[in-house]
Amino acid sequence: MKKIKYLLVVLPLVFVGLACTDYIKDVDPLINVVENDRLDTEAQVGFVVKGVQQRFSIVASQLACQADLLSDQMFYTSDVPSASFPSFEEIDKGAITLDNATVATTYRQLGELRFFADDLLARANRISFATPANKDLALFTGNFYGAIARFYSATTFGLTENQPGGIIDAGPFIPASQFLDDAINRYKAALNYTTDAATKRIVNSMLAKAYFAKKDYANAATFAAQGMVSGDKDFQALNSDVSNIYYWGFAGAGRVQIVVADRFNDYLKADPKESARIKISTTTGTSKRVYYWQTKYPEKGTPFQVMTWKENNLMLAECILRGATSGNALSLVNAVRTSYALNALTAVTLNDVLVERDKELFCQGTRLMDQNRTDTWHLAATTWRYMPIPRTERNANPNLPK
Amino acid sequence: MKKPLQILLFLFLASNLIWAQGAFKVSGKVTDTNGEALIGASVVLKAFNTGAATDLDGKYSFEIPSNLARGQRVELTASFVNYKKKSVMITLTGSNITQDFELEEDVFQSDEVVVTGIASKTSKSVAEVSVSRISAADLQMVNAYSSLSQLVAGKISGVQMQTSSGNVGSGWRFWVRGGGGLNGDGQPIIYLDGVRLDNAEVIGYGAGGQGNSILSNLNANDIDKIEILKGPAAASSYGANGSNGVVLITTKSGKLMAGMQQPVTIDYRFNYGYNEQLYKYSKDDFLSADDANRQFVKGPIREHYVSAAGGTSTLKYFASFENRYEHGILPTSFGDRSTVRLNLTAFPTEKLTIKGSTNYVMNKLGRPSNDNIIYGYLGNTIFRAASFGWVKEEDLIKIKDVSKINQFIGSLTASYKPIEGLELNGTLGIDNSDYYQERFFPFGPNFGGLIQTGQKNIYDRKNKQFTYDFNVAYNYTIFDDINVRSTAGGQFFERTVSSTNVTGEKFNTDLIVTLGAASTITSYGESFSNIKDGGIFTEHAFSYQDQYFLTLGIRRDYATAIGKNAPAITYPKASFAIRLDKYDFLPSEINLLKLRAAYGESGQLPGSTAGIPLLWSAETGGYGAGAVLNSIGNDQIQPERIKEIEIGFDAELFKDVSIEFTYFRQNALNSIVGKVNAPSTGRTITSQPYNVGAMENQGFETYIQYTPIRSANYNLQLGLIWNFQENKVTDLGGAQPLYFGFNSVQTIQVGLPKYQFYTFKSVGANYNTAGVYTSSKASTERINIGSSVPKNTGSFTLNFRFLKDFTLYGFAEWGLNYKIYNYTKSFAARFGNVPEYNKYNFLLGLAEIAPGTAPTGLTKLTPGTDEYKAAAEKFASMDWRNPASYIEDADYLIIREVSLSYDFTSLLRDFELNSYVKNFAMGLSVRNLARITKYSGADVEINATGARSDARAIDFGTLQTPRTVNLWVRLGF
Repeated sequence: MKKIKYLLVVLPLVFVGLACTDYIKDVDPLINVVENDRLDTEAQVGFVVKGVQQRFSIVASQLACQADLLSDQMFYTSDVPSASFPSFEEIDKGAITLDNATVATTYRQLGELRFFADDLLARANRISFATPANKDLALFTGNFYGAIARFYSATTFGLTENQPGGIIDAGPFIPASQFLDDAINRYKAALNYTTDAATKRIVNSMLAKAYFAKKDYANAATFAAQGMVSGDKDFQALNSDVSNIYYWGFAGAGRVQIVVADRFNDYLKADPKESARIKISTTTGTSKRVYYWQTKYPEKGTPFQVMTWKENNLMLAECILRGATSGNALSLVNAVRTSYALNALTAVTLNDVLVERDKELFCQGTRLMDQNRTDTWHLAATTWRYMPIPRTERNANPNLPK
Repeated sequence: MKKPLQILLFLFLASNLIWAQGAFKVSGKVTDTNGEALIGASVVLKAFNTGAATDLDGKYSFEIPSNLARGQRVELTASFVNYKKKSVMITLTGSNITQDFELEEDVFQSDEVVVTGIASKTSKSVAEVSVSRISAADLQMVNAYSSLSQLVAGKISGVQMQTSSGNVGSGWRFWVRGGGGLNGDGQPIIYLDGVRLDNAEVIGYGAGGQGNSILSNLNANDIDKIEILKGPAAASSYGANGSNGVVLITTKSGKLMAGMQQPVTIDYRFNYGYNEQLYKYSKDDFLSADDANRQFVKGPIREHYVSAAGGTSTLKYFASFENRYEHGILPTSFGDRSTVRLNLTAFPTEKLTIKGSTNYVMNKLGRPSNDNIIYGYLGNTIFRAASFGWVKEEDLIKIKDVSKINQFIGSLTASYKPIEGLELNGTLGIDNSDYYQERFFPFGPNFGGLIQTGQKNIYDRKNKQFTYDFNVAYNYTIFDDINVRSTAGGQFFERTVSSTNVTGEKFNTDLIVTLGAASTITSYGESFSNIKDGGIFTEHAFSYQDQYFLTLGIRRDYATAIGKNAPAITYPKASFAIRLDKYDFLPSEINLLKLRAAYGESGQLPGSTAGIPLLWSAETGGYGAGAVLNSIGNDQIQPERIKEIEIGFDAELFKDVSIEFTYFRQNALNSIVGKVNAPSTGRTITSQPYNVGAMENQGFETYIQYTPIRSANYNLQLGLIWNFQENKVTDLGGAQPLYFGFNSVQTIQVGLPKYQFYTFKSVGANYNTAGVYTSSKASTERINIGSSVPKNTGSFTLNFRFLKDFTLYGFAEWGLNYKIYNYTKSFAARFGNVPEYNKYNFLLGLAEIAPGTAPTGLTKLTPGTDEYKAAAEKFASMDWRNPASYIEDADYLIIREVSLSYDFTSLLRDFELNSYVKNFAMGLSVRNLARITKYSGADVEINATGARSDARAIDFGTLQTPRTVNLWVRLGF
């Protein structure tokens, strides 16, 4: 009898044990996430492409705004009532700690952009496509945005205060020049996967800009000459009410923490017509000082200007004035100016073009590159001229000094 | 609705009819050793499942149908809380029986039945593991409690209760022993009447740092007792996720009534009180102190609680209703809770018991913005010298954040004893809740620039969980004198949680506040998860001569959450106890001495998707919806394994003193460490989990209770709890240390306790060649600053009944070796709101000072002088750039509960009113009467990032916990 009772205890246990595995596996499927390999189909390419673009749109204005803050175009002051980010102050002063959370976030997202783009290329090679256009879309997007990610890294981040460059996949540090070559090769590869003339011109302008960063004005001129022309639609990073432009939330209508250098107000005082491209408003600090903040991007969803035919014109004009190519720099500059109904210049020097760039590319993230390539640094020599590759990378990457 | 009522009525009538035939009476008196009557003691005749409670004279009486008396010998047992129960054998002949009892005080509470495992209960005198129990029902007799956290805080050795803010319904967390292993959120699993409860802190649309605790739905008045198994040694049979202990809450049930003349007693309790600001900001610390203090209000509390309880031999019932309104100490902090409960226990046959426990709650919580947010009351007043820089004072109150929570908790338990020694038990439980949050910034005001035309957020979370438990137990004897109880069973759990959220903006009116009036949707999302876990276990408990006790057990666990290569894990346990007092060599003054040792293993499960290498989700923006990384997993992942050994003793001396001591040591192995990939890999959305970590913790727990005075009119009981715990991370498998908290002040890294403050410190001042201060000198390396969790904690309890009917109850808690990061002050210093900081800034010639922002009459010091250097060193030590400057000692002593009450029951009797009102008591209770601490901030018990974050003990504009005063009245009919 005892044995029977004991069996009563043990047998259900054995039975239940066998059923456990089935029980725990019988759950509802995930609906808000998807496993990696399920995206390896032609039908999902559009979804993955938009993911790359979405990360690009996040990175583009965030990185540009912080680069502008580090440059002499914008600055941070806690005198502005709504300013409270110590990390912005560090960037503004070029005294950036490796633990700066703002920099680390941007660097992390830039890493994602690079990975998403490269991952798309790898995925495109794994998928069997029925429609070649779908494969071209994947390869164009992967190459083009992969190039942009590398360009951003090479022009904005540094290993030391004046040693720009970047890293891929926790590898060794890649100096900017080499990283830019990688970007250039990818832009060139992207050209093979689009037949749209306007898109090709955008890629050429981006190529020119990459050569600009390398101070290779001859090649820059070659591609700028094939770049965007008057009437071309701007190349923008698209934002929305859900995914906001960074300038709005940190340096604009949403919340003013980062303000514009006073010289932009001076530009307006000198020529009120400049308000067509230099859009600013004022706020008063606790000390009663007046500060200026950008209104170029007035809404959360305002697109961010990445490349325009006007920038292409100014690049080409500068190449001419630097003797890298021949052409009429004055007419190129005046085409830009007259598009805003500004007075045409009668003559133009290299310095004039740089001032034009300062005004035209207001809040487009290029000022840092310009200051570095023209060696017109506004802070002490010991300060960071790039945002530092953060400690999160240094700690996890055995190839870097800690 | 009609049917259940009819059934209830029938059961009552049927049971009374049975007794209506010819009957004989069993009666007597129950007294203590001094001859004093014990009121409310139970006298039970187990054979017939009947009995009675004693009346005001200590007398009991009940009847038995004459036809049941066949000359048999049956056991009659008298029991009373805090007294040792006594049984006598009586012979039922059909004649009236008189049997008196004299009960002896039970200082150690040896006879208390305590839970020692998933399917094991035993009396405390033979338990092989450290068992802790809170008699909530007793505490409620002398004090007022609003939540489970208030009932538990400081009452159990080895368990710390950490609140995160003074919001009504605020989140809180347990810290059990050394805090468990490296994984999970450190929280024990919590069961209420057999139902595994949702213990989430729900944040929804954040109001800065605080979430609301789902457990704030629980009505503390319904709770009868709380038992806690503190670590794997005891909780091993609960399997994975039991490593942080198990909390078992039992709600009240029906009682047998005195003399059976009245099948129901009704209790009514009324609380009236208020919450008030305990810590007042001083102008010496913050220039804007007045602005901050002005935001506080005295928040009223009113609570009505009515319960009905009764029972017959076939049915016991308990029903209650509560409405509690509590306003917090800021204008938009409040809670409004209504609960109903019905608990039934039916005995359809002698062999079958069925219990039902049901509870429905409607709760409404108003949450103020605070902590790390620009819409906060404190952020707008205390962070900067110029208040209301982000939101105007009159607009702060316009931000509404209200959550409405409906929750049903129910369980059905059946216990069947088909044959002698065999027991089959099963429980089905449901916890189902809907948490609906609406937050609204009205159209009109400018909220920090980011919200200028109104904003509405809606968050809805639905949580559904099922608990299924069953076990079979068999009691038998081997080798003639070894009693064995063999148990086997299974335990299964399923949880489905989903949430949706949406934000609308650009309202063109303040008159319509629904989403339909928003011109644009600016965020939206949806989440879903369904997980299951289950385990089977077997346990075998041996006892020999009531002196030696041994239990062996094993549990095998299965979970959806475990990676594909680790479908199951096994956890063993073993425990042993010996009663030394049964030997003759011990002096008679030692009434009880038990040595015990236990070993057990348990663990923490990985996250439910941690075994999936890469997951992508959708993110929307200007391009539409695209694929972005969501999480990075590891398909080799397994649960953490935590091994615990505890040894200790329990003693009762001189019939006055009880001592419980336990030493524990835990080793966590295979802990899941999230290796953070280098950002250049792009795979950083989450860290990647690996089973490479290890940590150890140890400590001791002491509980001493002493009753120096015990008489009819005076009774003094003193209690002391003293705990020590320390822990150390011993391995991270080469992963880089984790840093968290504002300015990365806390860490998990090898060689340090987890969550330790580990950051840079000012070590002096830097000067230029002219001797002018230029900056503070930061330490070159991070420095171990101290613990964010108190290492030593304890409490002192005083329960003094005097002049027979007065009771003074006091309870104080302390914590030592504890630090807090006063980021509030650091931030305020940086933004010119700290006069002391401004003073040195001026003295060193670094900044001019506006009138009123620093002490007057100051003169700038001359660089190079000793005074200048001293000031520079002092200023360097206040530099907010080095967080250690603001990590302060936070050792504390809190006078937590003080209550004075008077029991009018004797007076009622004297005036012969007791036939109308059975009992009547009233009291005045104060919670958080005083807080004594070195910490210069508002409160030592808060955390700016809520109750589930890794970061802890950080004060950043966080709302202090209030002082609460309650006047309560308790009436029994």
